[in-house]
Amino acid sequence: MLATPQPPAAPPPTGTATPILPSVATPPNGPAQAARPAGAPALGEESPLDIGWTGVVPGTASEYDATPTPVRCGTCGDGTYQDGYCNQCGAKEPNPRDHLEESASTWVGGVSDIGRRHARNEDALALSSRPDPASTAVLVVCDGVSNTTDSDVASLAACRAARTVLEQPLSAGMGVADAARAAAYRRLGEAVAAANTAVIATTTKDDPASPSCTFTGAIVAGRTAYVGNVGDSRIYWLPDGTEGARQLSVDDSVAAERIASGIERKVAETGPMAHSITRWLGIDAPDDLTPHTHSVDLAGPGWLMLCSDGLWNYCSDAKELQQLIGDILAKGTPAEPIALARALVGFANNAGGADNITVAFARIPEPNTTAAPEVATDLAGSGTTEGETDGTVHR
Amino acid sequence: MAQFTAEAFQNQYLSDGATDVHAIVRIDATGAAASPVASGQGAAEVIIVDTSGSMGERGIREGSLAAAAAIQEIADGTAFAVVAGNHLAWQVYPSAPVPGTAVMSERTRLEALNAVRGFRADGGTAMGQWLLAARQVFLTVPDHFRKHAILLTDGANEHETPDQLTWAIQSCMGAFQADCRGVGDRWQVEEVRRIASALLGTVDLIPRPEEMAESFRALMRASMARGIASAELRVWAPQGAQVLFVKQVSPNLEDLSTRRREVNALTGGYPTGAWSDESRDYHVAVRLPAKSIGQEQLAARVQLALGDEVAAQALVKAMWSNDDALTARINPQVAQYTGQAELAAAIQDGLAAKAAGRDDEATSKLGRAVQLAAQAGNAEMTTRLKKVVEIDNAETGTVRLKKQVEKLDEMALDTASTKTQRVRK
Repeated sequence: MLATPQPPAAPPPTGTATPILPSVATPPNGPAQAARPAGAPALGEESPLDIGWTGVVPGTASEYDATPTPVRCGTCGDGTYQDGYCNQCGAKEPNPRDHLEESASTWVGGVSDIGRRHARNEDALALSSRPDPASTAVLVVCDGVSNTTDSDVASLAACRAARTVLEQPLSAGMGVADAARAAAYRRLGEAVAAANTAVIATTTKDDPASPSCTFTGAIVAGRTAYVGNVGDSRIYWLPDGTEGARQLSVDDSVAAERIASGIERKVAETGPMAHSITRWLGIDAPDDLTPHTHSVDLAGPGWLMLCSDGLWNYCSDAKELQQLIGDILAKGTPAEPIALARALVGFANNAGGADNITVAFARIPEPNTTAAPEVATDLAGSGTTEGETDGTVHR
Repeated sequence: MAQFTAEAFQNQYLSDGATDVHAIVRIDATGAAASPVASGQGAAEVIIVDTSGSMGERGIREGSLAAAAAIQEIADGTAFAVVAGNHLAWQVYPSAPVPGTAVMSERTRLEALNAVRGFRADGGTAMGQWLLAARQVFLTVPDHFRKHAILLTDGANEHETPDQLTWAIQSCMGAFQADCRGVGDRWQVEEVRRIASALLGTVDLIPRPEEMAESFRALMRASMARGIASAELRVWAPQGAQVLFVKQVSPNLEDLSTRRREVNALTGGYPTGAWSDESRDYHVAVRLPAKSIGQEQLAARVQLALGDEVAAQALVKAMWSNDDALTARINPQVAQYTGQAELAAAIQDGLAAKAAGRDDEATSKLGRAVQLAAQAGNAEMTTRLKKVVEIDNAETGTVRLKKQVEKLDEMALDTASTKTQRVRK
């Protein structure tokens, strides 16, 4: 399945997409991409600099040479876009980067949206997954730091570079949970390094506002998730019902430091400098980019959620998020990753949409509906107990 | 080949519920002087000289010299004619029973110079007749020619009714452009401005007859440099929007709003006349239906078109925001030209009130003009205003009308009112 960027309103009819604005063409992911040899982000096919702009996909380059077909305006339906605006109603042509939707499988999907207040969507996501629920999946969310140059390009490059690293099969090791966890944490560290390289590759020399972004990644291996983060994008495990909701990530932020010093969460997260992060990816990143890592037993049923602060600004506490999702589903939203992600983006936008909003889910079903056992052996994950936050990742 | 560029200056941010978008669009032309039209190919000039009795012996002599000076500036190959006017009008050169032009050459130049020496001061003043005569001449040259006239008068239009003049002006609109000059203090600025404005030209005062020749030479030289015969400003606004006004604001103020012709349902065309290598600013104001915070749209597409070909384009945008720091800003270009338009209106209204004996209104309007000129740091206009009013306090606009005012000073203030100061980028 291809991840398809969707314009926010009515998508243009198939086959009429034009390169008037650089389209965010998404490279293949999922099983096809998993076959890629290990190493740097698919060199020769796609440079990190190209990501988000040229979207070179082998064999389809000719589509970009074609004369642009007029795209019908999604706002008034009468006009066509000219110079980026409708020639009848004047509406701005949607930039596909403003609203990305990615569906890696029926159980892994996510949405990244510009929000209501920002001029660019500097958030990004990259997903990949095997088709069977709770088998193998990779989820990455990066939040480009605003007021830096081209953070929208950098964050997408980071996501995709990290995904490429994370979706390489983990060695089964000795079949011991500790060894599997160590391998997964090492892989998360490598993903951060690859993402950092990708961000730096988008940096122009001597740029005083060089691009930078956060990193949040998750490997789902059967009933275990290994997660890591740098910055303040988050990962939550949100089981169905009212029990067991937890935030798995640790914010590198001024707010987190305040909470650690005893200030109440809501006060700290809305206070001055609350959004200042203390670690980030980029050419000016701090030396230590070791991700905060964690592993969790995905008993299911439940949702593994990755999100940017554009969502958690409006609902931060794990229990409240669990409640929110329960309410949304109770009102009839289908229990599918894309549908739920769209609903949460809608929730954040209705609450003000002050920042870009990105939400990605892996839907973990009840254990008895788990797919074939051989998939799970991929990562020797069975029987892994919940780990603790582990700051000592081995490289 | 002439090149045009267009650039918009605006604050695109609108506050919640705001609907009006203002922008200054600057259009620059280069390479126009190298066009064949600039060297006389495809251009027609008509010199119209007032030969009414009021010109007197001295006036007529200087008028002849002025016509001669203009003739000297006309490039070889240009179609040209000279029209003399009083309460009637007749073609002095080429002398023929029917209207027509001669092609400028060494021979025709000498003939024309001889012809203008024969001017005699006699009769009344009916400028409508002169314009209609010039129109007859221009009708004999091909449509695509640059058609330009210089009109000189020294008196009020006393020998036809205002309606007759209006009708004549309307008949000439689009047929040719006319730069108009008044000599001395007996002509009516408002009357001549009406002609110049309709015919996309300028109006100015020539205080003394002996200055006419230099003025005519400069006018003709400027016209000869206009290598683009005609261009149209096009303003597109989205469905449901209303174009509030389209004004030229530099080098001089000219409201073009009523000159709109429909290009298509959403696009209006406004005449801009001939272009040399020059820069002009236009103020475009559009009213849009308000959209919600965060929405962006195109408010206007402003183009310069040569025939059917679009030579330059600037986009005027609107973006609704609840950030007061963004929405409260007024673009400096928009602000300055808005102020200059208000200044021009205050001066013209004040002088008209003064002429009609409504002293209170005149004092108030001219006081406001003094205040605006002071705020804008417009020293030239302040100097001109000082000749008409005693300024007690420029900051508050407190003034008294002067008891003794030179008529020429008043007229100079009036004619200068529409000349704007350029705004730096």
